[in-house]
This record gives sequence, C-alpha cells and structure tokens, in this order.
Amino acid sequence: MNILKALLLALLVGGALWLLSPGRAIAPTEPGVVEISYLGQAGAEAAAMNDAFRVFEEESRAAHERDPSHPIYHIVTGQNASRDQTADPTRFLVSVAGGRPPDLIRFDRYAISEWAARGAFARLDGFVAAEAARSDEAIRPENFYPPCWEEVVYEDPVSRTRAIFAIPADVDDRALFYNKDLLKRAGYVDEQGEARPPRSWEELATMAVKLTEHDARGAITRLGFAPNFGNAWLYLYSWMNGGNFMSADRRRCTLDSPPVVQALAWMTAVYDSLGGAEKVFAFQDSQRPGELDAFVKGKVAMKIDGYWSFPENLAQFGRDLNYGVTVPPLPAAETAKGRAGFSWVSGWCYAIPDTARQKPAAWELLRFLCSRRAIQIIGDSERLRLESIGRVYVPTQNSNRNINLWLFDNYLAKNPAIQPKVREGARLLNDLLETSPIRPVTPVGQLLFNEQKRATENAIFHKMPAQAALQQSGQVVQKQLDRILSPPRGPLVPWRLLLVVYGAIIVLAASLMIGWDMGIGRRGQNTASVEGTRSRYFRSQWSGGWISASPWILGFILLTGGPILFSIIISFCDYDILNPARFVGLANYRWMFTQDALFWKSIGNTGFMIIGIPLGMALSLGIAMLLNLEVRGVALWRTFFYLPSIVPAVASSILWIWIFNPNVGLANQILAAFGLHGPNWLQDEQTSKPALILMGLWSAGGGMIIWLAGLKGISRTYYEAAALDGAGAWQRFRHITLPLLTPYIFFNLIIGLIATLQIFTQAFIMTQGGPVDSTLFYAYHLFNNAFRFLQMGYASALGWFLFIAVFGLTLLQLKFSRRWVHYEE
Amino acid sequence: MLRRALIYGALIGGSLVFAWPFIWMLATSAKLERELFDEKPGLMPEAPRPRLHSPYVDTRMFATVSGPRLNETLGLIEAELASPRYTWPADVEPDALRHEVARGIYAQLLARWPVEVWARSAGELRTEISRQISPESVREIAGKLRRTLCIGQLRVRSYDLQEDQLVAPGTAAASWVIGGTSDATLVQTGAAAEPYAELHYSFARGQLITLSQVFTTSFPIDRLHRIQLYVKNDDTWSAINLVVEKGGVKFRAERPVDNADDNWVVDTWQERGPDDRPDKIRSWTLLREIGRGPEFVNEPNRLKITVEMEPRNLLQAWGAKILHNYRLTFDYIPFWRYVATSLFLVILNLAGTLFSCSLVAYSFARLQWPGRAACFALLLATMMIPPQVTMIPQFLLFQKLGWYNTLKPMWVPSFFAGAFSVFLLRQFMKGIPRDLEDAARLDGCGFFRIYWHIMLPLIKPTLAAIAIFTFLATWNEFMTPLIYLSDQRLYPLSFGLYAYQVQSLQPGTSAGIGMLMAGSLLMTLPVIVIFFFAQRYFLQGVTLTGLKG
Repeated sequence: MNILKALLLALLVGGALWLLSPGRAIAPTEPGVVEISYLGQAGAEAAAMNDAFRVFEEESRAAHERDPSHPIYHIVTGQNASRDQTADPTRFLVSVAGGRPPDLIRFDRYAISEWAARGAFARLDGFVAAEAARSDEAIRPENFYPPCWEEVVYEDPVSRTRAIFAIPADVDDRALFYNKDLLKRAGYVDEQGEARPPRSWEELATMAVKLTEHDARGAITRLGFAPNFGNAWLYLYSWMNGGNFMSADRRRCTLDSPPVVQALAWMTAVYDSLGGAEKVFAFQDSQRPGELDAFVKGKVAMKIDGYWSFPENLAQFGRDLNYGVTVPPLPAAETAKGRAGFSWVSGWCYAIPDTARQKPAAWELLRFLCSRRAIQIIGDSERLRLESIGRVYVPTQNSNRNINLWLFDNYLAKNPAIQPKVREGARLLNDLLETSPIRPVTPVGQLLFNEQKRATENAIFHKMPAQAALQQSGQVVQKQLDRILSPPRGPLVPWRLLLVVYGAIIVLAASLMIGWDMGIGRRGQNTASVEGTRSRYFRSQWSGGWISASPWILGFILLTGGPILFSIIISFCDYDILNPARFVGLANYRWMFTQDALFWKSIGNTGFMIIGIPLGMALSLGIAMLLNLEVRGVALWRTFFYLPSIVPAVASSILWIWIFNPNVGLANQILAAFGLHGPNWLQDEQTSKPALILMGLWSAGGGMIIWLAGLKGISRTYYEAAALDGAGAWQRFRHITLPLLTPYIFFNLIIGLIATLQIFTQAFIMTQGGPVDSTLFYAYHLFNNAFRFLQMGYASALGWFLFIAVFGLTLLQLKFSRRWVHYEE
Repeated sequence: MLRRALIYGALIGGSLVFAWPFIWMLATSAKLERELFDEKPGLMPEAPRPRLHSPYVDTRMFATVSGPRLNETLGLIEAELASPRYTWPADVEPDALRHEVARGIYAQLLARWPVEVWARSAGELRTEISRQISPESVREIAGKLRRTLCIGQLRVRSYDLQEDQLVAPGTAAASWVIGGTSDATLVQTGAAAEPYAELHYSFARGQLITLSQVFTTSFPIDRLHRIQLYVKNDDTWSAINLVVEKGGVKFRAERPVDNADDNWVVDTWQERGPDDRPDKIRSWTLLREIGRGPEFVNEPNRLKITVEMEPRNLLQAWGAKILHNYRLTFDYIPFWRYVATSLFLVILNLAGTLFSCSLVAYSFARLQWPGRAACFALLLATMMIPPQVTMIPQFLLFQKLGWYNTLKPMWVPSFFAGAFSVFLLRQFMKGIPRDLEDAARLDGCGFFRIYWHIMLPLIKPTLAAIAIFTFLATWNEFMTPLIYLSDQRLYPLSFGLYAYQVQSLQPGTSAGIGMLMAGSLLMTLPVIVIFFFAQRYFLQGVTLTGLKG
C-alpha cells in the first residue's frame, strides 16, 4: 500500500517534471549553424532587438543557400541585471572570468576604457580597416560624431599603444530644459514677451533662488534650479569652468585643480542659497520611480537633463507643458573669453570580448546592428509597440551622424504626432553632439565617477570644504590609477598545485576528525556510565551518521570547499578577474586597515543595523504568539501578516521609496496627522539607516513561521500545570514559553546576525549607499570593489575579514548558548 | 471580553499594516498611466466613466483646480467668455463647456501670472483677464475638454512589406459606410496638416455601431500581414472590435480594444503567424476565424473590413480597466512558459531540500559520529561567507561541469543540503524528546527506519516551514538565472519578469508601473495561495510530548 502510494507520487512528479521542462521548447542546434551569443538590453528594448536578430538570421540563411560557404547564424540573447551595465556588470564579469563571455555585448561607452585597459575587449582595428574596402554602409570613423569615436579609442598612458575597442551605438547629450510659464511668471521675459533662459552661471544662480518656492515650514514646493537635479554632475560644471578631471597625459588625477574646486564651490553656493542640500534632496526624492516627473508636473523651473527626457517623459506626458530647451550657460568670465556653451556626451557601444569564440561572426552582427536597416527594424518595432498603447516614439540619438540625421528626419520630422517643441529640442541636442566633451578615457572611470559624487556630497552637505573634499577624493583615484599603471608583479598562483593541496587537506581533515572524536568517545564512556550503552550504540552507528550526513559532506567538498579555498587564496592576490591572479602577500589586508577610509565607515554603518535584530525578533515573536491564539479565521490572519515577505523585492522597494517620500509619503502623512514634522528619511544621513531598519521590521512576518513552528512544539500540559499552580500570563511566558523557545531564539540570533552583516539588497536598490555614504554597508562596499572597481583580490580580503568577524561572534554565541539554550534532551 | 476585543483589534490593525503592500499593488495594477502622472496620486484607481454619447465635455480635467480668489476670478472669466468674440462647438452643451473652459483658463493664469497680480483690485483683474484671453487660447482649452472619437487612416501591410493606405486621413469620413443599430455620423475635420474624421454617435437607440467597407489591396490578399487603424479614443470605455472577410473566410478579433484614455493610438490586428514567437511583444490583437462560406468576400485582392463598436456599462468598464495591465503583462512576456520553468525548478528544489536537509539534520542532531562537531561548525561557517566572494570560482566550477546555460545550477545544489535548513531542522530535532526513538531502537530499528518512520512525522511543522521558504526562495531567485542563463527561453518567471521590472526602476519613468504591479501580483498570488493552504501543517504541532510525563 505504502509502496504503491510512493510509486504513484514518483510517477506524478516525474510526469509533471517532464511536462514542465523547458528543454523541450529548445530545438537542438543544427550542424553548421554558428551560434552568436549577445548580451544587451532588457525588457521591451530587447524584444525590438529580437526582431532585428530574426532578420539577420533569415538573411544569413538565404545567403547560405546562394553560397554554401556563407555560415548560417543563430543568435542567443541574454539580458543584464539592469539597464545600467556599469552599475551591475556582475553577469558579464562572471562569464568572462569563467571563459564563456558573450560574443557581442552592448556596453556603456565610458566604461570601455576601464575594461579595455585590462584586456577584456578585442581590438577592432583590423575589422575597421577591412571596412574601407566595403561599400554597404561600412563602418568609417569619419561618419561618427567625434566625441563618440574618441571614447572607444583607448591609448595606454604607459605603453602609448592605441586601439579601437568598440563601435559607438546610441548616444545622448544634455541641455537646459526650462519651463516657459514659470519663467514668464517670475518676469524673465525678452523684448518679444517670450521666456528668457539664463545666459550665465551668475544669472542661473539668482534665477534658481527667485523661482524656488517654499511652504510655511520651509520645505521646497517648487524648485527653480539645482545643479544635480537631472543629469549634469560635477563633470559638466567643471568643464564649463575650464577644468578637467585628468591631466593631458592621463596619468594624474586633477580633481583638486582650481577650476574644479571653483565649480564645486559654485554648486555648493547654489544649494546653500536654496536653503541647503538637505531641503533640495528632500524635494528631489519625488523624482524617484513610482512618482511623477517633477519637471513635467511644473514643479521644477529649470533642469539640466539628457535627451532621454523626450522619449521617457516630455514627448508622452509633457504635451501640455510649455517648455523650451537651450544650451546650458557658462560662467560670465568664460563667455568673456569667447567660449561657447556645450553639453556632455555619453552613450552606448558594441564590443567584442577578447575571449569570444565567434569574433568574425560577432563583427558581422555588429556591423548589421550599426546599419540603418537594423536601426529601422528596431525603430519600427518600438514605434508599433508604443503607438499601440497610445504613446509616441522618439528614437534615441545615434553616434553615426548619417543615421542620426535620418532618424530625426524619419521619426521626428515626418511624424505629425511629434510636437514642434520636441522636434526643436531634439535638433538642438543633435547639433551639440558635434562639439561636446566626454568623460576622460581612463582605466579608473568608475571610481572617478563615484569619487566626484562623493566629493560633491561632502561639499554640498558641508561635511568638508570643496577643496578638502576634492583633495581627498582625488587622492583615492590617484592611488588606484598608480596601481593600475604600475601593477604589482608578484608570482602567479599555481592553481594545479593548490588543487592537490585541497585534496590533501580533505584527507587530513577526515583522519584528524576521526582520531579526535574517537578520543572524545572514549572519554565519554569513562565518565558517564549511565550514558555508556548509548555511546556504544552510537559508535556502532558511525556509518549511519556518515551516510546520512553525506549529502552535505559531498556538497561541501565538491561545490563549496573549492570556491572557499579559491577566495582565500585570492585575498592574498592582486586579481582583477580579467587577468591571472598574482600574489601580493598581505597588501590587501594592509590597504584595508590603513588606507581605506570607507572600510571603517561601512563597518560603522553595518554595526548600526544590528539594532534591528532584537527588534525584529521581538516583533515576529509577538506576531507569532498573537497568531497562536485561538481566533477565528487564523489561516487568513497569518496570510496577511506573511504578505510582506512574499512581495518581490523590486515591487516593495518602489512602495517603500514612496512611503518614505518626505513630501507626499505615507510615513510623513501619518506623522503629520499627529502634528509632527517628519524627517527626510532616505534623503538624510541621520535617518536613512533607521528607515531601512523600519522597512526590515515590516517583513518580520517572515520570521513568524519559525516561531510558530516552535510554539506549536510546546505541550499544553505545561501551561495547564502552571495555570493550576496559579501562574499569571507573564509568568507562564517567562518560565515556560521563553525557556522552551531558546533553541529558536538561538537560531534566529545567529541567522539574524549573519543576514545583517551581509545586508546588501535594500541599499543597492533604494539608496545606492547614499546619502553621504550613510548606507554604504560592508557587503555593498565589497560588491563595489569586486564588480565595479574590478578589485576581486581586495574584495575577497574584505569577505574574509567579514567571515572571521561573523564566525568569531557565532563561536562566542555557541559557547554562551550552553548557559541559556535549553534542549529537551 | 475585553481581551477578545484587544486580540481582534491587534489582528485587524496588524493585518492592515502588513497587508498594505498587497493592497497597494492591487490598486496600482488597476491604474492607467495617466493616473500615475496625476498631481496627487491617490491609493484607489479612478473609476471609469462609461458614456453613451460622444462628443461630450470631460469635467474631470480641471475639477480640482484651486487657488486665490477662485470664485471671483471664475465669475470674471465667465463674464468675459460670454462675449461673442468666442465661438463654441455646437455639438456639446455650450454652458457646461464654457464653465469648464473658465476653470481651465484660471488654471493657466495660476501658472503664468506673477503672484503680485492676485493682490490687485477686481477691476484691474478684469482688464488683465481680457488681455490674457484670446479666441485661440479658448479654442485650445475647449479642444482639450471636448472628447470625441477621431478616426484617422487605415493601413494594411503584406508579409512582403508592401504597405497600402486603404483610407487616407483626409478622406476618412467619406470612406466608410456607417451601419449598426444606433445613430452615428462621420464628420471630416482637423487641420490641413493633420486631417481626420470625428465619429459622433449615441447609443440611445441600439447597442451597435459599425463602419465597414470593401477594399482592394495592391498585393494578393493571402499575403496580408496586419491591419492598422489610427484612432484617437474618447474615453467612453466602449469596446471596439474588428471583423474581416477575405478569401471566403470571416475573421473576428479575439478580444475588443478598449476605447479608453484620450491619446492617438494605432490599433493593430493580425492573424496567427510567424510573429507569434515567445520573444516578441504582442502589440496587436489576434484575428480568429469564425466561419467560412460562399457569402463572404472571396476575391484575390479584396477584403471587407468592419469596425464594430459597442457600449459598456459601468461593471464591464471596471472589468476592462482592471484587466488592462494584466493583459499587457501577458502580451509582453511568455508568462506561462516562464511559470512552467519556475514550477519545474520548484518541484526539484523541494524534493532535494526536504530530503537531504532532514537527513543531514537528523545526523547532526541525533547520531554520533567522528567529526560531527567540526562539520557542524563548518556548516554554520558556509552561511557566513558573502556570496559575492564565491560567485566567480563557483561559476568556473559549474562551467567546467558543462552546466552553463542549463537549469542545473538552479536545482542540483539543493540535493546537497543547504546550511540554513539543516540548522533550523537540527534546532527543532534537538527540542524533541528522545523517548520514542529509544523505544524504537530497543525494537531493533536501524537509523534510517528511525529517521523515516519516527523523525519525519515529528518534524512535519518545520518541514512545512522549510518547504515554504524553499518555494519562496526558488520562486523569487534571480541571481543564479542571471549569471548562468544566456538563453532567454530558459528563464524562470522571477528573472523573466525582473528583466521588465528593471526598466521601470530607472529614475524619471513612471511608465509601466501599473504593468509591473500586475506582473508582480501574478507572481505573488500562487505563493499566497500555497501559504494559505500549507499552514495547516504548522497547526498539527507535536503531539508526543505527553510521553514524558
């Protein structure tokens, strides 16, 4: 009977698995087909790309029929974790390290030099040279906007070798968007009565103040202009002021040069005149997802923002908004020197990883994707999709001048649904593409970006003066640059030998354990005679113990142990994932304790979060006890309380960003109902961590399950006996429930500690470590070093320091646990 | 009594707080894009307002306008609008329109006038107002307030990429034959640059309005790929359907298009064909065959197109509105394919985790063997290593095993006992009295039989908890698919959906939030249902502690 049941169950599960398996959906690759893997866009953009890929495949098939030597292509597409490749290059990095990179990748252009410097991308000079002989929409450097092409050519500052590492694709630049109605209202009009945008920094600063409105409590209700509202950053203001982040030979970081310092001082002054950066950031929070665009709503008078404002907001939702677009103004002194205004250019490109398997095929796909034909297929597909949901299609700008002009002509000029103001703005931004600067082409681009942001925050929040902030950040960048330009040349890691050592360690550990435990077993037999029979029995069950523990032991040896050993070794190496690891001794650990200020900051931040553990435990125990009472519909109540743990992180992040919105968020509305003025939550370094703790508490329902399982395990007889003895509710809780729950308290403490010290996701999605590094947690710092700054060796060292800390704390807990954890043995 | 009240009070209050995200997601999933861009987004979605007559004046647009000297200024503006300088469309109620236009002008003045103006006297205000208002601005605002259904061009396209404009926007009114059971007229309007026809209609008499015509195409009709109609909706929530006759076969759209919101939309219809691939977004409505026979148009280059419009009542409109974002989710991702993959992984993970973890935990909790203490410490230690550190070596290993771009990295490890579950189960087993096992052992049971027949039934509540955790973790997992899958067809639901969600997370785009919430809800629902029913296993508790005493 039982066997029959088990068989039936097995059959059922097997059948279900066969039905559900996705393997059946995938046809095996035909012989002679060249498979190209492509890593690029996500979501709707990816679907439009697929249309182009299918055409490419069909054409290759047709060409193959005409000429059998022509390969048939098949494209396999993958997606990134985020649209922003540089924010999270995890996927690409891991696949490169594992020797299975995509054949073609769409990459953020300014990050190309950083990766090219480490040899991640193939040199394309040979392919580009061969293009000269081809006629059909060949890739020629002169067809591209100069800044776009400059960005994909990397010259090593030391060896002076130059090469092309990518082909520019999409591009975007920035301009000053201004609300004409608001400007007119404040009296900024020219002779014709038209709104007149600012002509200099000085004017911009006064207009910013005049156009800003506050409510009775001083909170900003309408923003005139804020330097970092939109997308300008210190980069643009420095360039405007004649400054640069890198010296001409790109071997020195000039973040602290006078023009940059002046630019930052000006930004700080603007923030101060608006009532302080805190106020502006509190207002800026409503710019976050889940909310509407403040400029479209008419809540912002001027902003410097990118071309993408058109497709994302203005062309769709800003139809009734009376706005204009113009070149951002320069400081008056710079205009006096005869300089004209400009924008700044960034965008995307296609690159072929150096270890890609199908380079010629990837190049064919690349040149197809750069052709007008592919861009039209993609554009038409997107247009169809958008128009079917009542939107208009505004194509992104293209690095290829001819294609860009055609895009404008075909999709903007010829489409009557595009408003003239969108067309004019797009034309202005297209013109600016010819002359605007790009971020420095350097192997430390990502760090430079992070540090300019850090310096800006330090200055505008008055943590330190502009000069000191830039000096500090400049030094961090310089140190990293020096390391890359003259890398440590330690011995290579002998991986084969280490594998043998690993085997030896396992054997040694096994024999040691046996010897040690036998000793203990014997001692146990001598001292505790009552337990004697039991021990003897257990020893006869050794094989049983090993067999039943074998899944874990095998798993550890095969899947976990090796990677752990690998990372220990790596922590003593200089390893950027793209090149072989080299031993550097204790350098990583030395750097950690002596040079890395953020290391200590992140420890402090993470330590603060420990407050949340007891709070969360108490709350979830409370909920569990409430739900353990005999009430009607208990299943329903439990489901309600458990809901926060089920909601996917992305959805709940959007919700919480909205709840913590200082102006319209639920948290502050509730506080306001009690006459309290709520804080700025995620935008204030004092409250950002408590806000995250609060958010963690709210998913306490998840822990409730474990408590419930524990509570259900406590026999009623104890309570009945205690009730007979006249014990009150508190006494019953204190002397029965708590002692019997101690194994669970212990469990939750350890798990809670581990989870807290590894806290990452919330900071990654919601705060990106800010403001002013107040949510830069240890694991986030580690992630940054590993995947953003490509310092895997250092990240591993950080990982092992964390491990030792947690392990030590756990051992301590285990030791003390004997005193208070009560097992019913 | 008081105690009961307190308990239920706590339950209701707590449920509200904790169910909040769910309520919010539910509400947001029923919102249109326009509502997310509203000045003050409320929790509840706006109620649809189905209407039987069009054109009409939309009174919602400036309903919430408020500011200094509101009524006084409105009076002044209305007085000004009464002047014969301004002309009004004849097909809507002029008083209602004038009233709304006044509010619209007030809102415009509020945005454009310097604050000082509002302190001036009534007389000055009046002159200022008449200076500001022009026939053009009035016409512009009236145009925004007057909702009407606009019909533009009709295009067809063949599989060989030939495009025919069957109806030009300039002759849209003359090209269609109006039919059905109710009243409707087509009026040619619009600027010369952007002409179109307005469909004025009323469902007072019947429930159906049709526009139909027989067209000739430049290509053979069996090569027909898609039919596209350009429409500006009038937000009456009526249902628009398409019926096509060609080659002796009659087709009908599988579902109606909502006449909702007030943007220009291109409605597209096509038959099942090569476009129906899982990696393509369905931005068209499918045409289904509903009959064939000699009575239907059957000529090599001809087809008959009929646009049908039916009114909806409030209930139907609500239904259409709520379903809107869910339909989009299904159109955008191959939802069921992703669900199947996720279920596949869930089953394997559950089987692996439950079996291996309980066995290993039993070994750690009850059996004596050399190295147990050290192994337990190691087990705890593996939890403490940040995953970012071992990600790369693990990838190297799995890739050497040939697991790259397969689902194996997502389920095989579960058969090797995860530390968290082992730890939890061990804690639980340690709390169970040994008496039963001792009795079984005296009867001569081996370790496996004790595990299978005595331990497993006792640890059911914890196993149920672990099953839920495992289910949830597998269902929501996105890091492993991200790293190991390069082929979109292998994606589980969590990652397939995430790929769309990340787009909505970009700052400055509210777009797609409604769809994101609908998708998240669809992903969450099975977990909620399973949790609801699986809890019964927690309730069982351990009934054996009585043995002790």
